[in-house]
Amino acid sequence: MDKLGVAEGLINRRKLLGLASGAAAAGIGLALPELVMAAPFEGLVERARQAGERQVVVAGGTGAYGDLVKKHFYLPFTEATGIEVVPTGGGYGEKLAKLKAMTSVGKVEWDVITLSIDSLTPDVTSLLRDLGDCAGLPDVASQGVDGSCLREGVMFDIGGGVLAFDKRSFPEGQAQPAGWADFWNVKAFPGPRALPNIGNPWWALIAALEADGVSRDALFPLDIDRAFRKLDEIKPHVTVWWKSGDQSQQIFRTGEVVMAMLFSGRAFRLRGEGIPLGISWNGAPLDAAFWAVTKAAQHPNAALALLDFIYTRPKAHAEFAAESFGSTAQRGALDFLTADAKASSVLQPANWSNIVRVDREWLAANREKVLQRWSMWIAS
Amino acid sequence: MRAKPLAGSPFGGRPTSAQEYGPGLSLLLVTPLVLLLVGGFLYPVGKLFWGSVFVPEATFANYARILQEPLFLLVLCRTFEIAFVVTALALLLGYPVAMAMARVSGRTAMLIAACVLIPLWTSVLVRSYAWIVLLQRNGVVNNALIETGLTGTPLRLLYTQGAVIAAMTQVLLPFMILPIYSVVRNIPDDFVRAARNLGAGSLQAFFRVTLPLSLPGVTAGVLITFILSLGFYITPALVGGPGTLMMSTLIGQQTTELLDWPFAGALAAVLLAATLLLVIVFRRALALNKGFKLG
Repeated sequence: MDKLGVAEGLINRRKLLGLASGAAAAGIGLALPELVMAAPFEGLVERARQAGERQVVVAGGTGAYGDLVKKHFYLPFTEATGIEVVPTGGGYGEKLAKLKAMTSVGKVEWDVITLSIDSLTPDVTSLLRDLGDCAGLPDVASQGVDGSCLREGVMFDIGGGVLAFDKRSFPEGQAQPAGWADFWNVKAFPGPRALPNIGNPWWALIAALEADGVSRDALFPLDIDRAFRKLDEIKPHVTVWWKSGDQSQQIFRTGEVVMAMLFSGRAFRLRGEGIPLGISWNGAPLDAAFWAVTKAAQHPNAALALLDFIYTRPKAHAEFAAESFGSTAQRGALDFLTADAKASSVLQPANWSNIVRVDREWLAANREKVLQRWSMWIAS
Repeated sequence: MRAKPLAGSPFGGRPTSAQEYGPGLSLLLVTPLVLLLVGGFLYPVGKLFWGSVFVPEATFANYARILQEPLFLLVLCRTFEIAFVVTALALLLGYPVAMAMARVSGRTAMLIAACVLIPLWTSVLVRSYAWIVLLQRNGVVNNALIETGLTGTPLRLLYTQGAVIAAMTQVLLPFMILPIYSVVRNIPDDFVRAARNLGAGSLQAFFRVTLPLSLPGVTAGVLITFILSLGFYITPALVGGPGTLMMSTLIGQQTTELLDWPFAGALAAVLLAATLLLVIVFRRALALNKGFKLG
């Protein structure tokens, strides 16, 4: 009773699987390992089926974003595999706290959890299943951007703190800001600026060090003193330290600033509203969410199948990107984007390779210190 | 006849409620309020302060931290500075309005009352956003300045200390005007007339008769405005920047973002102690001042 024409051919594979398992059960002796070799995703699904896993509980996003994920990924997954996705959700911090609590009482109800990449600290990784190099999830390796496999999870949404500028101030054909050095160059690119003040000051420190000429591979460990000295230079020109994504959009709508470090998703949203924004990924700090399987998951095989599934079907990723103003780590989606979206997509190899990844070990060791210094610096 | 309080008090002549009702009934009537205060104020605040010292174990580390990290003293000083300026501005702007309200009648009085009360009934959030609309880079004020040629490029108005002070003054102005108005209204016109009759100029009559008699209203207005400014949260968060961070925002950060309730309790205790101290000093100073109308 499959509905045809969905999930790009997976339906047929599912029928095949049904046949295969039926055949295996009937003792006809269709070699299952061969099937796993030939069609890895089906192998994952088959393993879930044999373990009797009929559902997978996902602690994902909520609201409009959650609805989009459901439409483009949960429902097609159920369609393709017969495994029901039970969505639940909440904020990252809330989910993390709940997962810790559930782990401590020994009953983890969630199979998959989505978290921010910044939260991948040792106390969190110990709650998540080690995926190694994701060899068991072949579509991640073949379809994901470089570094999609995080060992304890796989990237899903990817974006960053881009340099966004108003093209009404810096029109095409004239010099346009192309990196953090230009953000600091108030002579060539005059006008008020904005930076985030949302509890991740290392983003501003990265921009400052980039502007000060530190080469990208030498950024970490961050030279905090040098970064703050450089930030002192730009401070008088930063008129807005935005506190929320909404505010970061509003300051471009009202022309409060001419350039800012924005979440890429917010920059694309503004473009969608018709605000002519230029977007540079040059030196943008990475912002990513990942999907992970919990260590004590009750449906681990179904969870793994879902993690692999979210790296198939590039067209769905392109649609999801257009509707959510974000991007996922599925490389193939690039082919399905509109020309305009394609040029500034994070999936462009030129953009993805220009992204700065925060050194998680450095961050874990220095977070408190940097936060404290930042709050003093910004308040005085 | 019961003993009457001295005449001249605006509320003189009526028996106080303690004389009207017996102690049992009085207690009964006051019970709901006491319960509300205990349950809604004393208990949570007490718990917060208790937590600042005894959670997780008895320590004054949270208080020591306030002294050690310069940020907290900086913000504390700034909070008081802003509260002082706002209170002074509100007094300067509010006193004449209160006088006018008390002296005129008919439509004009209605109009003034409407101008004072309608903002009071409007959400602080709306009024703060209105200030954003006024002060933003392409806002009303900057456009007017540019059109009249007073400035070539837009000035930086929003997210500054000036913006916070202006917006807070406007938001808190009714709390200054109304107490002064209620006192000034009850000063009999005869007093000023008598002073003029005895040869005082209008300025002298004001400074030697009206102003001293209105001091109870001024005290109330100043105290209410000052205390409200110290704890103001929404307006500074909206029209100010990180350079105008005030105590309430800092306490909010500790409770909602960093989830450090013991430390938030310590910050709140310090703010409350400093406020009480200032209120006591202020009342003392004013009580001493009462002598000057005789001098």
